[in-house]
Amino acid sequence: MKPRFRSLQAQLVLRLAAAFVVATVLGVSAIVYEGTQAAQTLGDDELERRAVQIAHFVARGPDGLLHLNLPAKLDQLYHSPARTRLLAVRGSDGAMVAASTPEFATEVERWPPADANRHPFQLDEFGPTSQDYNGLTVLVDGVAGPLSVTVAAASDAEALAEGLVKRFMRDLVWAVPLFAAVMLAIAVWSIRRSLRPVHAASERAAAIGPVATDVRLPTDDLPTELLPLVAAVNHAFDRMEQGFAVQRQFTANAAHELRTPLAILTAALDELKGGEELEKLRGDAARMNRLVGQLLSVARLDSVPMDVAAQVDLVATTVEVLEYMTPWALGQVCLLGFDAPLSPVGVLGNADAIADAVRNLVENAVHQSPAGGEVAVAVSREGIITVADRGPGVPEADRQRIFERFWRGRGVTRQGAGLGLAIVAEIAKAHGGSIEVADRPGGGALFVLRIPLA
Amino acid sequence: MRLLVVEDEARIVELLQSAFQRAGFVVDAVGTATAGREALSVVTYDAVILDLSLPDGDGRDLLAAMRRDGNKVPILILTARDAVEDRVGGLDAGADDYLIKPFAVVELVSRIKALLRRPGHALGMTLEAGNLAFDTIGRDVRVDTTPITLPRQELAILEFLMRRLGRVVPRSVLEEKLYGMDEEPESNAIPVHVHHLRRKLIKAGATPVIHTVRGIGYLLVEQPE
Repeated sequence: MKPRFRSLQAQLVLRLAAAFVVATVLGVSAIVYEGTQAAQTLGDDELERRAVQIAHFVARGPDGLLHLNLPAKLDQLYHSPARTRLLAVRGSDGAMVAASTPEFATEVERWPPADANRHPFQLDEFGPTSQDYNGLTVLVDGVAGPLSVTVAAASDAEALAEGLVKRFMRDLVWAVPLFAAVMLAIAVWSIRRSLRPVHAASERAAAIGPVATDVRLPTDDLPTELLPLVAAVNHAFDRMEQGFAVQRQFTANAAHELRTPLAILTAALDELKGGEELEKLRGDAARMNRLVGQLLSVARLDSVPMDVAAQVDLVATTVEVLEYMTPWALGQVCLLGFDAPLSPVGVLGNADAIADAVRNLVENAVHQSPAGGEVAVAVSREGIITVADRGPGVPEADRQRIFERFWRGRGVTRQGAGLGLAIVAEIAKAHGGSIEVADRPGGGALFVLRIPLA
Repeated sequence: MRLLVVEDEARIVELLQSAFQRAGFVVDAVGTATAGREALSVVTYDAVILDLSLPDGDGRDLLAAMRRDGNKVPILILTARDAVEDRVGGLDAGADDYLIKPFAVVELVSRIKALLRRPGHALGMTLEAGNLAFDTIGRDVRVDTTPITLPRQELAILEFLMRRLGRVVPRSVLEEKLYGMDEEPESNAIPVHVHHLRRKLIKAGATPVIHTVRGIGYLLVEQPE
């Protein structure tokens, strides 16, 4: 299954963001829970302290009964009209010693007296003031023996401690997502920075092609995690370059191996004296020579990266081809003509390949020409080479496919194997140019080869 | 005329020998660069046909060694390698011409004759094409045995065309050779001279024909029998 985001950066950011959200939720929950617990414990501790304080003032009177004698300040606190604090003291036998209010005494008497554990409780809307209370019953060892002391405080009275905790929590709960957001931003920035050498390597990789097989990815500044990958890729490029070299060697060898026997065959046929049959055999040998030459051109185009960086004069290159081909064309009862500007037309390219392309176009045109016709070749200042014949022309429907390898026109007797024009197309492409065919005004085909100017 | 063929392919040697013997050459053939060097040190040849890939080394090394020794014999190299660097390398090393395998034997013979027709070489004295003969010393042109009179420029043009028989002579080369640096030729001077020359040759019954390659130049072709 493909990940939805192919970018390493996007994946990292996405996952980190998810982790931060989960961590934030967990962290906030933990703080809220712990805070609530802490507030509760704080309140209970406070109540217990008060219970112990109260037990301090319980003494056994001369009548043998227990009495609570609170100092005035405390007494006010537990008997205030607002009833913010309530107390109830029972002896170990459960008998009520003192209580803030009768209804509190009644309420408490229904509960069992304290044992070794704290017994927190809550009273909702209790008493005439209808306040909510948090309370605690604890067993206190006072001067007069064990006592069951129950203290309660109205929720309002507790507000200070609990309020502090809650406020602290509120502030912290806001801070956590903010902190997470800042961390995420730092993480994103850090990821982007760390991936910068990867971008640099990618740009270098984009420059690698069949023409520039010697380029390798830079290993400097790359994260160590990526080094094995980059090293493996560079090794793959090494092997690729070797493959190209082997292909090149094979092309050269094949040229020699195929051409020598063909040279012998051609020369032997030239030496024979004979009639019509021998002429046909010579024609067959010539076709075979041409086909082998074209196959080798194709092999070279496929295997050898073409260097198209040299300064080439289209006029001089074309003239050379035409000079070379004229005797052959005359043998085919065909004349060649040439039009060109007086000054050179400079392009960046491969002179050998351009000459090859022109030769194939002229060969094709001569084969299509009627006997005694002229094949008109022209070079223009715009880097356009045209080759025009007075042959049957190329039907509209075939004008694309004519440049495909091994394509042969329907019902048209063609001399070649359908490779020549494909070679032209590939050479044009390698130069960033184009080849097309149109109707020649007055009849015939007009091939237009464009090579971008230098 | 004596020709040396340095070529390791026995069948090709055989075919070249019979073709050149028929064309009136004496042919010596060797199969290695070493044997070639030895032959050249003993015999003075009129021309050498040299294959570039030899069993004991690159033909170009032999070529370079010969030129270093001051041997000016015309050399034509044969190569199956048609990459541009091989051609340029061969010509830079001092070859006079090259042919790519496979070649037509007729072409090779006419190329060798063309090399020998260069001034100072074996065929440099009398140029021949079909029934046309040009004595370069006496400046005398004959069709069969009948002399024809030609003005200076037409003689010069004919000489060039005959020296490069069967190959295109660019118009720019003719202009350079016929006119000095200061002389600016009339734009149609060469075509006019060629036109007159062609008419005179036809009138005299010469078998070779001057073809015009429009936009490039001219070539003289021996008409097939």
